[in-house]
Amino acid sequence: MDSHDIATLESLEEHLFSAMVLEHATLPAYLTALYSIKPGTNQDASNILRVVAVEEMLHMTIAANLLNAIGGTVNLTQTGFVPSYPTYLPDSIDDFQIHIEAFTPSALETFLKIERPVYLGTVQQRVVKRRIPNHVWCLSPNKDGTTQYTTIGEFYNAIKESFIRLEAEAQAKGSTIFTGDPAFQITSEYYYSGGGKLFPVTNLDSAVQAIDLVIEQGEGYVDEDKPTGVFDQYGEIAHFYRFEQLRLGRYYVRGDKPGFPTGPAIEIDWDAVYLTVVDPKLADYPEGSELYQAALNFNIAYAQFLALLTEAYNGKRELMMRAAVPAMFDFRNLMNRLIRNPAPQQHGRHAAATFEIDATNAILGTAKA
Amino acid sequence: MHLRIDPTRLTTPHEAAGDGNYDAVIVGSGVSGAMIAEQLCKEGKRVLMLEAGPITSKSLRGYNDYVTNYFVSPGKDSQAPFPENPNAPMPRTPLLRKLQPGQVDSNTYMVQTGPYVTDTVYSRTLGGTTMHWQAKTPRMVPEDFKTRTLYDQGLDWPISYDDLEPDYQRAEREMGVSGDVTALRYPGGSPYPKDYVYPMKGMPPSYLDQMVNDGIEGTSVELDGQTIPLQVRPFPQARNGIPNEAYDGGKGYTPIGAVNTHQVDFGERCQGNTNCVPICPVQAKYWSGKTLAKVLRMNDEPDKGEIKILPQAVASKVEINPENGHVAGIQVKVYKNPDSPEHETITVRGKIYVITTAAIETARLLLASGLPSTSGLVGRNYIDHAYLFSWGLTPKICGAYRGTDCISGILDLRNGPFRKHQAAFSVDINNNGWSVATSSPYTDVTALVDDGNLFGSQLRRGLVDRVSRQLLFAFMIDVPANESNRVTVDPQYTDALGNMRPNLSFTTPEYSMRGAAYARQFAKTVFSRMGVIDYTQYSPSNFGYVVYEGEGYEIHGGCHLGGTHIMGTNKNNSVVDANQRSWDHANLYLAGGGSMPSIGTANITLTIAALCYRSTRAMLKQLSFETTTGATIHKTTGYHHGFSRHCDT
Amino acid sequence: MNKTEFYAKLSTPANDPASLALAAIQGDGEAGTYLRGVYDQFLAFSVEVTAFSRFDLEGTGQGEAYFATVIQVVGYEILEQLLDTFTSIINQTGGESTLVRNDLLRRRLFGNERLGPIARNIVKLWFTGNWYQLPRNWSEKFGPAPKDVTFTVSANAYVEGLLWTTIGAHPAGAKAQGYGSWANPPRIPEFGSDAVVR
Repeated sequence: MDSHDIATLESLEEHLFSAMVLEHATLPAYLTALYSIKPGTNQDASNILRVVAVEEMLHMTIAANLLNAIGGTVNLTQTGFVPSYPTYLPDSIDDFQIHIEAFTPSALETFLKIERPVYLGTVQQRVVKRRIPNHVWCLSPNKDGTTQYTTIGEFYNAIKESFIRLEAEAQAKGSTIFTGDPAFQITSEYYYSGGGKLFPVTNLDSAVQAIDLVIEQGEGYVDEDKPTGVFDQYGEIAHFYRFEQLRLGRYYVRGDKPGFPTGPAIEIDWDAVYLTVVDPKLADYPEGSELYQAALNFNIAYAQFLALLTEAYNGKRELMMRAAVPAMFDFRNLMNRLIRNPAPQQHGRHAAATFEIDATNAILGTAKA
Repeated sequence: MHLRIDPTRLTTPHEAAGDGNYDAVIVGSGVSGAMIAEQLCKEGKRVLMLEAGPITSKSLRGYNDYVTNYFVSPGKDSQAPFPENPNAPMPRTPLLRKLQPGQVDSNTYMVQTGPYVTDTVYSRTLGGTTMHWQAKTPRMVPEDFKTRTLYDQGLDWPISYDDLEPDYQRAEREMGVSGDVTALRYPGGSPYPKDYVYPMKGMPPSYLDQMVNDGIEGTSVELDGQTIPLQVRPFPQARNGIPNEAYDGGKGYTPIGAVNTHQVDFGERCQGNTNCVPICPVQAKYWSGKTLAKVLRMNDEPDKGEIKILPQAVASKVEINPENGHVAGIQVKVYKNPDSPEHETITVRGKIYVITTAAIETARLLLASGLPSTSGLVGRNYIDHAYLFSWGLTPKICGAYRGTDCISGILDLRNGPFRKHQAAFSVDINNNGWSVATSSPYTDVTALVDDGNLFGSQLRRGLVDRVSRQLLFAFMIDVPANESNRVTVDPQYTDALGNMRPNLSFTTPEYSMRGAAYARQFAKTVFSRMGVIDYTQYSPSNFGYVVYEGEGYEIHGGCHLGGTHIMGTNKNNSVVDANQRSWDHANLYLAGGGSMPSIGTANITLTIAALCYRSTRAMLKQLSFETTTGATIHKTTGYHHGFSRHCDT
Repeated sequence: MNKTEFYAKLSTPANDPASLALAAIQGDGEAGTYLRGVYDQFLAFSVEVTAFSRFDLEGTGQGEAYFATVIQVVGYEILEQLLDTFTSIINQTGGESTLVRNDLLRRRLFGNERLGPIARNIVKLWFTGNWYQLPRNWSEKFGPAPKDVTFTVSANAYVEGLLWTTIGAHPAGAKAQGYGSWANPPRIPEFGSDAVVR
């Protein structure tokens, strides 16, 4: 066993919670880019961003199912669940940060880096030793935070192997790691449309299937026989290639080689975008202004949404459809309203939601330990 | 699933005319056209599909353009998404006007010869009227199939509810119906097999539905000596909700979302856009493109048939072989550009011919071809529901303008012994306020601002008070078949391509007006139980204004077209047999609402779809008989170049 | 671009009015400052007559389009006259109650034969996204205004109609509230007597 392997159930739970943090961390970036696009323009880009954002929500829910399956605790209200932007991803310390920003060419490049497949990574081993600054949030296989996974795919592969090994160890002792309450599993019945079927995770097979789905939707299907990986066996196209279509100005169709799409053309009107303050903070808006209040209200609503999701992931599945889904639709309106307002003294830039959730919880006095 | 109408699936006038090897020529791409094509291709048949309109909605961009057309139309009429097309026009309501006795109004595509004027519409575009249908899918009740026998009204069907029941189930699967069977089991309702569940669970009733139910549950009305208890029940509807894991013996159901796109998933659940009519922006609602997507995918499968689509192709004449009465071909006018009448005329041929262009257009085509049939009944017995609206303000905010257009209604008066004397009706509780009756909420804004002199906070308060409390009952009233209600053609009225336009002559019979008068009383009764302030007003200048027993009513069309080529037991009492096959022309099928001798109080699309399964069985039998006479199936190579998603299973 | 140029460009059918208005109010120099001032007045007036905050109004993204629409249809002078009248009423009633201000708005603005129908149309623009054809007697007296027909400013103007926000609903065909949301009571935003309180 390598030192970086996930050796204990406790460590696996931590990794799965990190997976939820990770999947969620991309949402503010994708949603801000999506809603910065002026309505009625850039339909292709909007569709692609929307699909990816919806699938990130799905991945977060899959991670919740995995965590619940092994009897872990899902708590999205805990401090640090929403990172402070800009933020790093596990594979990005050396080259990029995620920003909350409008849909721009540089934002698109960031999105491509977020979703880059294993074989496009620069490092060939699973983990790499790096000095990670203290203030930087990062996924790491060990507690001292000096090593990190080279890609998100490798991170999930480590999780998958841990599931296989820990379950084999448990089986050998006549038990199982799948001790969670099946009534906590979010299935398609409780979930919204788009991005694939949600099935309950109750055993090793369903756990592996769930992890594979996340990997394939994110980076693409990669195995030695089929190194192309633009589409998986279900004809689904991975996030990386979805975004790459925008960079290359053309849709992929089945049979295309990576980098050479041959489908219908895509045009992007980079001017039809509200340019927003990059990584906005409440402090960027005049205190006491309507804008400040609206941004604060958004953060409050978002914090409440995470609390609601936490309940939904902890047995109150019906809340998913009854409350969480309408809330997502509501955020679209709230974010749009912010983005259409010019932010005073920000060089003509527009406002955007700040996603300062820990700070909001602190203000509200509801921060959880 | 992806509606992949790529160039290999489209055909050209030249190719279509030169191809003598189609098993079936299907006219129309609506619900019947698509479902029949699907059943035929599944069995390896080759199909040519003609669509009179453009195939704009095949792409997401085209579909979205339709949505945008609706958004920028200040009038927002029910055909607003679909641009004017003089080569394949469709009825439109904004130009209608009241007729004086003896007057004829030829201002709109459908010539209204009176005495009544109808605002019924249908769509001529890829998807047909499923583009703008409301997607409520109640079954007919067993008594609807024998109204002549039971009530001395209208006409009997040559088949019964039980004959059609298994096909209802097939149609409900194909259209992906959401519904709650337990709420629909009541005396007088349609009987479902034990343990039957719909593919998806029922849509949650709207806040307004709950409010109406709170007002009436536990109360009843007396009619014809019968006590009828009242309750709000959700309609089954062909739009995506929550899949029912108990469906299909526990196999469940996978919803089909938007189909005219790839790489984009949406429409797998209704979002509550409150815009079923005239177009669902996310395609959570069934439209025939979903079935066509399946047909197109069959092209890639070796043991399946294939489809070719010829768009902007208006069937203009059915040609008959005088020796045996068989259809010899269909003359088609194919135009390149909707703005220009320039076209070429071709004749296409197949083993069988299926006309699926809805009751008015199908009758129009046959009559324009000089084929009134032995019975002389082509075009006669035109049926449509008579709609009567009653509207008011609820005592508390009811949250109008949210949800689907309509989720629930009062169904208890769809059936009963009273049908001997007066028409039955079904009541819709509309979630879109008074819009269908008064063009609310726009008219409310103009009234409050221009006449009420409100602005600022008073205006906001006024709007909440006036708009959020809107309740409207839409009564869908049974209209029995009557030979004098009819579609005709007249050479003096033609469209841009020179095709004769449909003329409609129509009266709402007294039997239905008695139902309407009772409906109005019923609304008042329910309003009084709920404390609703009645705002109903029928204007004598409205084109649908009718005076019955001294009271005025506005009767609207239902867009539920039936009866112009009714099915029956022999060639003298009907146009088609129980399989929708023409008595006179053995290789001709007329599929659609026109075959229905009665429509009861059910929206007709589900029944139309169920009939398709029945008809395709007959078609396949006929084709297999003819195939043994020597014709071989020659399939062109599929085009392996597209997408499918995991939801394809 | 100064206001005369702006007005001239608005009359050219090929130009997009909303983008022109945006460019005009973001312009440099004296003309830019001037037009920005007029636009600010336009928004201040709109806040007053819709009871939506400036944040909400700008949140629709339609301000420039409506500003341009009014100028396009009835001309610059009449809009400036309307806004000047509004400003003078505000100056005159500083510190007074809404009641007093509303009385003056009625007498001098909504009740003004020339300005009233325009003021009402601005209200309707915000609530519906539609420009409504002015009453015939207005056109006879103060016209002609060749572009004065009923039209929807744009697809997005329809979608952003404040009518829907007011009633806690959504425009038919857009901004859906999610599966099953309709089973709950509507969430009608609160508002104060003269400004929006969220």
